[in-house]
Amino acid sequence: MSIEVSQVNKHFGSFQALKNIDLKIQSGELVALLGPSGCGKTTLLRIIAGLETPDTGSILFHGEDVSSREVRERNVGFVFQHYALFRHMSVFDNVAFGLRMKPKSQRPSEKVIADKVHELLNLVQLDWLADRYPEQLSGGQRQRIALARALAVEPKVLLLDEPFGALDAKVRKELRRWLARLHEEVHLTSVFVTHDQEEAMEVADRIVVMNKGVVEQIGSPGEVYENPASDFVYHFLGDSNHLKQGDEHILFRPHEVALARQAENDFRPAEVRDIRPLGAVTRITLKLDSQDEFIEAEVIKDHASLKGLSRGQILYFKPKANTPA
Amino acid sequence: MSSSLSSSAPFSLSKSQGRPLGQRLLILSAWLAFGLLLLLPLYVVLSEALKLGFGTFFSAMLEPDALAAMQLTLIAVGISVPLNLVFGVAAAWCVSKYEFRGKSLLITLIDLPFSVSPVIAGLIYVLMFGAQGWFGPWLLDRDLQIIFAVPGIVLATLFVTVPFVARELIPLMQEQGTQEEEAARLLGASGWQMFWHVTLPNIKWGLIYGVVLCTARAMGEFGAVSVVSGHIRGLTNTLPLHVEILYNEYNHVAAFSVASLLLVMALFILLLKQWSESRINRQRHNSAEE
Ligand SMILES: Nc1ncnc2c1ncn2[C@@H]1O[C@H](COP(=O)(O)OP(=O)(O)OP(=O)(O)O)[C@@H](O)[C@H]1O
Ligand SMILES: [Mg+2]
Repeated sequence: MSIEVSQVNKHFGSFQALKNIDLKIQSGELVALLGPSGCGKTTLLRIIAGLETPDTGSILFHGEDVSSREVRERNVGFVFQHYALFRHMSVFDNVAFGLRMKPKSQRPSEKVIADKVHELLNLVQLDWLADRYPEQLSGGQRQRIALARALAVEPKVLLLDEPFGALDAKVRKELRRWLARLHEEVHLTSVFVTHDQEEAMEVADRIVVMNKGVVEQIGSPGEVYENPASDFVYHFLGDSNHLKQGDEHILFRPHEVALARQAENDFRPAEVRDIRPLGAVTRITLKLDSQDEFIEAEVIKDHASLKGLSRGQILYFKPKANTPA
Repeated sequence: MSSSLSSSAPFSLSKSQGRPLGQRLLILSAWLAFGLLLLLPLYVVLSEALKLGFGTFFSAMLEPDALAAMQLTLIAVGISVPLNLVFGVAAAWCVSKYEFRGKSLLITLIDLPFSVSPVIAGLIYVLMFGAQGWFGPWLLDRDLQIIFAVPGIVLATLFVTVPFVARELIPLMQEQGTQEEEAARLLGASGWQMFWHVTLPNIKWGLIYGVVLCTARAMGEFGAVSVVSGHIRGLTNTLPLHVEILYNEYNHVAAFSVASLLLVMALFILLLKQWSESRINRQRHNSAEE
C-alpha cells in the first residue's frame, strides 16, 4: 500500500517540529527517514501511524485520506524504539495480542492463533523463547519479538522507529541485513527511522534526509550520496574534506582522492600525520601548510603509494571529484 | 541483614565493635516509642476486652447494636472503596497519560482531603445537605435524608478516602509511560481492551495496595462520620462511633470488645498491605533489571 504525506506541519507549543512535509512512498518500498537527533523523524512516523495529529496536512494510504481514521483502524505495524513489549505477558502472548483483540466475528480460534504465532516466531528465529517474559530477553531478541508482534495482524504498512538503535554494532549489522531480507520476503511498505547513514544506505530503497523539521532530499542511496541537494546532506552522508584552493573551497570525500609518492601535475604535497589500516581500506591523515584542517584520504590497502610509507613523509594528493562549496 | 548492611557501609565500624552508641540509642528509642504508643494500647484493648471472660467478649460483639454498627461500617466501606477505586484509576489515568490545562490543580485537589480536618469535611456536608443547609429544603421536599442517615456517612467516608488510590497510582503510571498502551491501540485494541489487558495488569499491585489503605481508612474513619451521623444507635452508628458510645456509657468491656474487632480487621488489612507491597517491590525490581 502506498503512503502519501502531504503538506504536514506540526507544532509542539511554539516549537515547529515539522515544516511542510511532502512525501510519497510507493507500495512495497523500504524507505529510511534519516536525520540528526531531534529533527522530527519520530514525530513524522507517529503522525503516519496516527499516534499524533498534524496541525495541517493529510496522510493518504493507497490514495485514501486516513487523517480522520483512528489508530486502530489504520492497520499499521509499529515497532517502537524501546520495543514497548507488554511486560506482564509472555513472548507468545505478546505476539498473539493483536489477533486476540480482533472483534469476535473476525477472531481466529486459539489453535489458528497458536499456529500463526509460532510461524512468526520462526520467522524471527526465536520460537524457542515463546514462554519467556520480555524482561528475560536480550535487546536484540526483544527487538525481533516486537517486530513479530507488529507483523501478526498483517499490517499493510510497517513503521520502525530506530529499530536497531539500542543494539551494539555487530548485532545491529546482523539485524539490518535480516530486516532487508525479511522485507524481500514479505514485501510490506516499510518506513524506518535511523540517524545512522550507513544503515540507511545499506538497507533502504530510498532515503529521506531530514533536518530541523524539513525534508532536505529524497532519493535512492546512490542519488543522495552522489548528488547531495545541499551541504547538509553532503556532510551528513559521510566524512568530508575541506580544501582551500586560492579563493575557492573544495569539498570531497576521503575516498575521492588520488595519491602519489612523486610530485605530479596538479598534485599537492602534504605531510603524513597518521596511517590507519581499516580493513579493506587504509586511512591516511594529511597536513597541509596552507590550512589547519587535516585532509583524510582513504585508499585500498595495497595501493602503490602506501608501500613503505611512514609518518612524517611527504605525500602528493589530488581531489578526484569535487563539489565546490 | 542489618549487620551485612552496616558492614558494607563505608563509614561503619567493624562488627566486633558493634554499632556506635548514638545509633543504638536511636534504634532503642524507636522500639520504645513503638512499644509504648502502639503495642501497649493493643495489649490494653485486648486485656480489657477479655477481663470478664470470653462470654461477655462475644456477647458484646454479637449484641444487635454492635451488629448493626458492623453492618453500617461494611456498607460504608463497600460503597466508598469501589467508588474510590474507579475515581482513583480515572484520575490517575488523566494525570499520567494526558496533557491538559489545570493538571497540577487537579493533583492538588486530589490531596485536599489529606489536609482538611475530617471534622470540617463532615461539617461541609452538614452545611450542604443538613436541614438548614443549601440543599436542605429541596431534599426535605422530596423526603430525602442525607445527614443523620446512611448516605451522609457514605459521603463523608468517601471524602476522606479519595486520595488513597489515586495517590498510589499516579507515580506508578507516570513511570510506566504510555508506550504499551500505544502499542495495544496500534494492534487494534479498543480503549476498553487496552485498559483491561495492558494498563490494569501493569498497575495491579499498586492498585491493590491503594485499595487496602483506602479500606483501612474507610473502616476506621471517626471524625467526619461522627459529624454527619447523629449517633442513632442501631441506625447510624459505625463501629468506631459505637465504640465511643459504649465507652461514654462506662461500658468498658463492651467498648474494648468491639474495638478489638476493629483491631483484628486492621491487622488483617495490614497483612494484605504487606503482601501487595512486596509484590510491587518485586515488580519494580524486575523492571529495574530490564
Ligand atoms: N510531545 C512533545 N512535546 C514537545 N516537544 C516535542 C514532543 N515530541 C517531540 N518534541 C520535539 O520535537 C522535535 C522532534 O522530535 P522527534 O522525537 O521527532 O525527534 P527525532 O528526530 O525522532 O530525534 P531522535 O533521533 O533523537 O529520536 C524535538 O525537538 C523534540 O524536542
Ligand atoms: Mg526519535
